[in-house]
Amino acid sequence: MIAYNLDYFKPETTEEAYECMKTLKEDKVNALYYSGGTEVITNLRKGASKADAVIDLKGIVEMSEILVEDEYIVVGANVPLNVMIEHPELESVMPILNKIADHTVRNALTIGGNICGKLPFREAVLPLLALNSSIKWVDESGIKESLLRDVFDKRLKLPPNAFLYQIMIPRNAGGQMISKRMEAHTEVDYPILHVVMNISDTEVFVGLSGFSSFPVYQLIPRNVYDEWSDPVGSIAGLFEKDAKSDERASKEYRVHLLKNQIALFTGGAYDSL
Amino acid sequence: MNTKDGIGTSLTRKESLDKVSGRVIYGGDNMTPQMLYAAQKTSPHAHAKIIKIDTEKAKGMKGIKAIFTGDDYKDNLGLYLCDKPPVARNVVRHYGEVVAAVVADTYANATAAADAIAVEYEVMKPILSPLEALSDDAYTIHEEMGSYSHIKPIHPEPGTNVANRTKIRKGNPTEAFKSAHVTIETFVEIPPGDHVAMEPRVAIAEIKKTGYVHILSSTQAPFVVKGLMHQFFGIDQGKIIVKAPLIGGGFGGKAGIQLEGLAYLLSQKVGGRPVKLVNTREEDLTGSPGHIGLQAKIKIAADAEGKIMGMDMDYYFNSGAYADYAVNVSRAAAISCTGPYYVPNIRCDSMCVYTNMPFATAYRGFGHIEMSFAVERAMDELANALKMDPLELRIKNGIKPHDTTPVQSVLNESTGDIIKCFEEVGAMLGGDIGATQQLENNTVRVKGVTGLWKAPAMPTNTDAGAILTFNSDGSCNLNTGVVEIGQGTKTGLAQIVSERLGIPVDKVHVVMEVDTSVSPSDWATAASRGLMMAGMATLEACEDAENQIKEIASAVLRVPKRDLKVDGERVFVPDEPKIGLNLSEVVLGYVYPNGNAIYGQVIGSGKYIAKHLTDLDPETGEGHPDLEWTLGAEGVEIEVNLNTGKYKILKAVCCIDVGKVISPALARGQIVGGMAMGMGYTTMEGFTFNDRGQVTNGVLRDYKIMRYGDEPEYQVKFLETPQQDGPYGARGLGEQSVIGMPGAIANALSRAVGKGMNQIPLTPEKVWKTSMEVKR
Repeated sequence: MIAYNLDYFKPETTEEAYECMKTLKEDKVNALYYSGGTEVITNLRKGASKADAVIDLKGIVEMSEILVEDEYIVVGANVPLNVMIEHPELESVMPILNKIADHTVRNALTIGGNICGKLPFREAVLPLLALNSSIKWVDESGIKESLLRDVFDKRLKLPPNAFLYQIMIPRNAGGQMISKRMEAHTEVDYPILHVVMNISDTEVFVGLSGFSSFPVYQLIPRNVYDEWSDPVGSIAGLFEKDAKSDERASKEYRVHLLKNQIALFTGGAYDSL
Repeated sequence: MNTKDGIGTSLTRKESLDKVSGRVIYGGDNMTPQMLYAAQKTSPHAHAKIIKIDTEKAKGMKGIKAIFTGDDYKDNLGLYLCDKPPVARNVVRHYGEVVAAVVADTYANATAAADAIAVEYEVMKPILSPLEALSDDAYTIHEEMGSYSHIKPIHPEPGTNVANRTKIRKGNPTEAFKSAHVTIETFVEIPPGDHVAMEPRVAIAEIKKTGYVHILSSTQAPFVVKGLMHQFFGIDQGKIIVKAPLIGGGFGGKAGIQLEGLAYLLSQKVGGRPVKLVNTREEDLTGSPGHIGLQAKIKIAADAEGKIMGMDMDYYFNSGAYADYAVNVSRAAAISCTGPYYVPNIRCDSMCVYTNMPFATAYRGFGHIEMSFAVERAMDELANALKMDPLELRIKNGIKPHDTTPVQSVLNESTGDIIKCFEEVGAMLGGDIGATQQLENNTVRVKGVTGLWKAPAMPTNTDAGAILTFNSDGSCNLNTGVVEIGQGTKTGLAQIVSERLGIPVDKVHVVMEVDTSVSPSDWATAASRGLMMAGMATLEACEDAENQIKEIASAVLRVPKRDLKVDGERVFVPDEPKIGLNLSEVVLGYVYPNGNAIYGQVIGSGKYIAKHLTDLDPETGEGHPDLEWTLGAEGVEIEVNLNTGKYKILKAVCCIDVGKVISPALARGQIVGGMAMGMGYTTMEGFTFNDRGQVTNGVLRDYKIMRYGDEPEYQVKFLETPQQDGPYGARGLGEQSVIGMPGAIANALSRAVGKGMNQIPLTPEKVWKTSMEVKR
């Protein structure tokens, strides 16, 4: 249980939600946007986060739907991962999403929460970045749209009080997405390396979660990539500086796993000795 | 017997339907209008002086009834060695130690106030391993040890960090090492960790105006709690009533005494009102005791044929900050320090060493899982040195009836057949244990085997009792002191009654809750002794009831008692079965057609006490502390990717000699459960620490345990060499299967990488690193 009393707000429109946050902040109330709750509740219980109020975004219906449009699949930020995993139009991202947390948690864990949470992994952002998705977000003047790549750097950089509304995943992004998630041991754990690679005609996307204290990615023009004689060394070289050591794995092991996996993906040579 | 559900059949457990439908009321589910709620404040430091505890702000907060700090109670509590204040006094000795407790009208208010207590610490350098604690410049964690009271069988060394040293001296090990053909030496390490029982610990204490103290607790040992509450607080034994409802898993972590003492002191502070003290998961992990750690040095001397000539061993058990059960864990490991092998010459010092880590209590296997890891790693090193098949080496040295144990007690015919266990395990794994099979992509398939043995480590006068009463339909009610902790003993005992009296098991009702004021005395639900001891008491109660039933029937039927038989819910004359009575007609006394009644109700009672047990000689370890030995062998087959160190346990096998299988499904469940626990323990568990001694994985997000997806294929085989003094020949099997898993897994992985993998947990990263070291 959360041993503290919290104020709970459940607005039904984006304007109400934004106003609610703005007003609370002006009143010096420490408030959080809230959706699935898998991270917020556990952190509040442990005292790892503090909040006096939560604003539950699940009252905004457009944020809980998946719409199939001509160019995009539009996914509301409140959509639980399992709903995305089971959606026939989202097969390309499914293999990445269905490795996050476990099935029971994914019933509640939302795509927006995974991307905007405090935990350093934010794995769900990798395939969205790879497919060059756009996002819609809400601020004072209403709903805005941006390319995810323009607003995501380590974390989603939205202005104060703004919140993620929808994600627009291009239906014909092109390319072949491959991924591999590795854990320190049991699969129901955070990744020590989750690598997502998307190779299209124009670019090669490589994104990592669990490798650094935040998700990192690199875009390599396809013609540059094709020229590389040592793709393993070249790709690893782009990321090595970001590797971290923590309780789950050492920096050396993470770098080794990355090189090993890139070698498997690209057919490039890697001699770990 | 006439029922279909006696010995040897698999039944649904008596409590299962309520459990799986959420209808069981566990300790923490209890709420009464009078109840107050406690919250604990814990230390973020591993070793610190408490300079000041400022409770002013907390005192003024809403609903606060009492605040308890170290100064509120001047004495120590302790199971075997009285070393622990109920909350830290003046000094903090481990991360997560409770430094204050708050009682309030609601749990939320108690928690808010606990948060508002400000503690000023002077942080000091912690000791973070047993060997560090034994170094010359180590500070003494318990300076007052000399003044602590303790039970006789343990041997603390005041002025040092040794809370117990058990010495085993057998034969002439010096000579054995001198004349050996080959000697090997190995060193292993295991970190402290936690049981991770599904239910966190809870205790509710109330002091009535009449002086009766009621304690409801998630305890495996209600009678131990009763005894210690008397010892610590001088409460009359008859006025202490301890109730143990169904427990959500214990694994040893709820034996001894846990939160009960503090809950009692908190109730005392609020005029005796009931106070509920429940651990959060985090408090349960690091505030309450977990499983013990170990460092150990093992040397083996053998002749050219691989016969073991001698062993020289130092076990440094990591007790953490307090002794609790750990002192006896180190003693239990000494008793079986060689593993299940006959060794004529032994020197062993098994020590329980204080450190500034979370403290340790009993854990499934009770010292044997740790001891076994050390011995079984050493056995594989010996097989390597001798260039001998690891299974053959074990078969050659397996202990047999008439051999002497390390404490020089002689194994009798009731001892299980470990040689056959080894052979069965070898066969289940497809033989060729020492081979490494190369697959594609730098992947190998390897096997590992271990032997295991365990006898209960318990007081020499360990007892059990059973009371059998009856209902007017001829059904009966069995009341024992065994706590149902998920092991299924109550169902096993019902099967014993069913078998013995010929009553269908549906009509054998078991009393689930243990209540020390009405249940017969029973030492503790620990040490895998529940089925054997309570089973023997139950058989005696059945015999007593049968005797009474025959006595009534002999009067009514006018036949001698000796001509009567009880079976199929009747008492009758076997050669003229029409002459008989239904049990329903006799068990509450017989009523003649004219209304006259005779005899009254049948009440069967039975008891059991361990026989011929003695303590150990303090200098040589000689003695007879071992009631019965369960022996077995285990093995695994693992596929290892040497590129990443990632491995998958494909198959885990166990052959164990249990004397007699009472309930096959329950027995298999216990064995497989123990194997799974042992796999988690070996591959991913254990606390991690920073250099300040803070636990860095003290939450279940980070402290990983086995998940369903991690399970291999299991194969379990039972042997039935009867335990001649056990119920229907059965002996204990609850803990044993956990014991051999660390050694089996480590032996297989060591073979895969070509070097000893001697540090638990055996993470893929360690496998990869070791493999790299070997290749470079």
